[in-house]
Amino acid sequence: MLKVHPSETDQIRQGTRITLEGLSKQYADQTAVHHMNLDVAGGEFVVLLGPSGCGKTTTLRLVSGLDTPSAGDIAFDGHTVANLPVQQRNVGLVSQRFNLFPHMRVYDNVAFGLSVRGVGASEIRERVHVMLEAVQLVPYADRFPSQLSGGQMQRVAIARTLVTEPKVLLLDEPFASLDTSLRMEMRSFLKELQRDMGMTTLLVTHDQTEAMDLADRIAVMFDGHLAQVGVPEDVYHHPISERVARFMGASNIAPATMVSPDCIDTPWGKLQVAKADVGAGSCKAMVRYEAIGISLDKEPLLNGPANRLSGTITSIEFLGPVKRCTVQVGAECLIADQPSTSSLQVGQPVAVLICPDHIGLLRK
Amino acid sequence: MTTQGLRRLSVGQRLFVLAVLAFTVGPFAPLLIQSFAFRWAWPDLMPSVWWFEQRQISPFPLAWDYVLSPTSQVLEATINTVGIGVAVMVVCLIICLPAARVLARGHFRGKRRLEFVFSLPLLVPEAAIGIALLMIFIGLGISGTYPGVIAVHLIPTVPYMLRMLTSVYQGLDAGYEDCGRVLGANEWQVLTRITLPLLLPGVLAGALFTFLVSTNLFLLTFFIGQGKIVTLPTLLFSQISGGAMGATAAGIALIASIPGLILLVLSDRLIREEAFALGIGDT
Repeated sequence: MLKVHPSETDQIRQGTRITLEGLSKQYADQTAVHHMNLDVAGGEFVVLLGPSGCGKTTTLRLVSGLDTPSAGDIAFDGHTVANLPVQQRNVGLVSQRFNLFPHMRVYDNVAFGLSVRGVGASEIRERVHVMLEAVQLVPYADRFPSQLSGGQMQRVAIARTLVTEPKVLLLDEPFASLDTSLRMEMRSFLKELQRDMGMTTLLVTHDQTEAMDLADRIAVMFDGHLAQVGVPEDVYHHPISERVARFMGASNIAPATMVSPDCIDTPWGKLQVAKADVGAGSCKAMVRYEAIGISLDKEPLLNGPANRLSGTITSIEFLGPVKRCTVQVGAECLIADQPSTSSLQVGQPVAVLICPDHIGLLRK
Repeated sequence: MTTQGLRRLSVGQRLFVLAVLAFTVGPFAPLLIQSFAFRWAWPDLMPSVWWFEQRQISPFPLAWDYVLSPTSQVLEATINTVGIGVAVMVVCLIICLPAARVLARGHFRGKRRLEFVFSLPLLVPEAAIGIALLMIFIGLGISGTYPGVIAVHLIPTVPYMLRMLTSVYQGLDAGYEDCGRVLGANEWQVLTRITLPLLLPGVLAGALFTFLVSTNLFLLTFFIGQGKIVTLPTLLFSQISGGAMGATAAGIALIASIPGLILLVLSDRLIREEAFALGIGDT
C-alpha cells in the first residue's frame, strides 16, 4: 500500500542488520542497560518487552543515537555507528507522545525531515504528498496537530518518520496513548506497513499481547538485562525463567525434578516433556492455562502423545471467551482454560491432557 | 476586550476596569497637557497660557518646537536608547538561553543555590553597583562607551530574563528537540526551527522586559555613560533636575515611552498568533 521512492526501494527491501554488542549504559546512580547482545536481521521486527524501568527505552535511545553508550558497540550492517551523531544515523523514531511540532501544520511536520536535509522544494512537495496519501491524511495537511485526533496524530508521526526513508524504524510505546479499539487498528496498520516496506524495526512495549502480535522475535528485558530472546511462541510456552513466564501471562507453575531427559516429576504427577535442556536436578515446570485439555474420563485418549492425569473439577469461572476451571490433581490444583461453550460441571471427574511440547521448564 | 465583553460585566466589575484604566492611562493625561502648556500653575485645572500662544513671541523654541529641534538631542537620545535596548536584549538572550537550558534541564548539586545567586544583582542598589563598576570600567577604558553601557545594563536585566526563560524551558518537552535531531536536523536547525519557536512566548516576554528595563535605566547609564552617552532617561533627568516639570520635559517623557509602547503592541500581536498556532488561542 505504501509507495517508497523508487531509487531507494532495493536498499529498503533488504533491510539493515542491527548488531548490539556488549551494549551498556551507566547513569550516575544506576545501570540502565547491562552488557546487552542482540542481533536483529534485516527487515526483522523485534519487540523489546519488559516492565517500565527495565532499560528498553534506553536501549532504543542508544540505537537512535540520542544517548551514547557507556560501553559496547552498535553496528548497522556490520559498520559501527557508535560514534555517528544521531542526525547521520538515518533512523526513524516514533515515540509515545508523538511529539508533533505544535507550531507547524501537518504538511510542515511531515516535510521537516526533508527540508532540514536540504531537499528541493518540488521534491519535498511530491514526497510529502505521497506519504500523506499513504496514511490517508491529505485533507488534513493544513491543520495544526492540536486539531487532530489521537489516531491522526499517530499517522502524522509515522508519516513524518517514514518520509525520510530511515534504515531502521524505532518505535517507543507507539500505541500507549491510544484507546483500545484504535490501538488494534493502528497495530494492524503498522504491521502491514512494516511488512510492505521490509524495514528493520525495533519496538518497545510493556504489553505482552502487543509484543506477540507484532514481533518476529521478542526480547524480554528485566533490570537492564536481556532475559530471553525468541519467537513469540517460544517465549510464551517455553520461558527461560519464572519471571519471564509470569510476565508473559498466567500459568501453572510448580517445582519439578528431572527423572530422565524427557520425564519430570511434579506435584501433579510424572510428566513427559519435549525439551529437557535445563540440566539435571530440580527446576520448575510451567503450563499455560489454555495449553491444558480437559476431557471426560470415559472418552478415549486423544491422538498424539499427551500426558494424562485424572482429577476433579473444583470450581469454574466464566470469563466470556473461556471458562477457567480449577482441577484438583492429586494434592495440587491445575488451572485450565476451556472454550466457554464446553459443558463441564463442578464436581465432575475428568482427565487432564497436557501435550509435552507445551510444558515449559524454568531454570529459576 | 470587546464591547460585548464589557457589557457582560457587572457594575462593580466595570468600575474596577475603569479604576485600572485610570491608574495605567491616567498619568499620561497631565503629561500630555503639560507638554502643550506654557504656564500651568496651581490651582488652575488647565494651563493658563498655552505653548502655541507664546510660540511666535518667544525668542527661543518652546515645548514641542524645542523637543523636535536638533538642539534638544532627542533624536540622538532616542537612537541611543533604542540601539542600546536592542543590543542589551540580544546579548541578554545569548547569555540567558543556554543558562536557562542548564537550569531547567540539568541536575547537579547546588542548583538551587546557584539560582539564588543569579537573582542577587536585583538586591544590590544601583548606585552601589554603578560607582563600583565605574572604577573598574575606567580602568578597563570602557567607561563612556557603548559596550560599557550595554554591559552595565545587563546587570539588572539578566536575572529577570533568566527567571523567565528557565520557567518556559521547564515547560518545553525535550522530546520535540530529540525528534528533530532524529529527523536529521543539526543543532542550529533544532534551535531555530523547534526550540526558539516553541519558546517564543517566553522569549518575547523576556526580551520585552529586558528592553523596557534597559530603556528606563537612568543611574547606571548616567554613571557608566559619564554624560557622553545621552539616552532618553538621562536627557529627561537633566530637564527635570531643577524639580520642575516643564513642557519640554513632558514632551521628552512622552517620547521616551514610545519605543516601549511599539514593542508592546508588536509582541502582543506575535504572541497571539503564536498562541493560535499552539491551539490555545481558538477558544
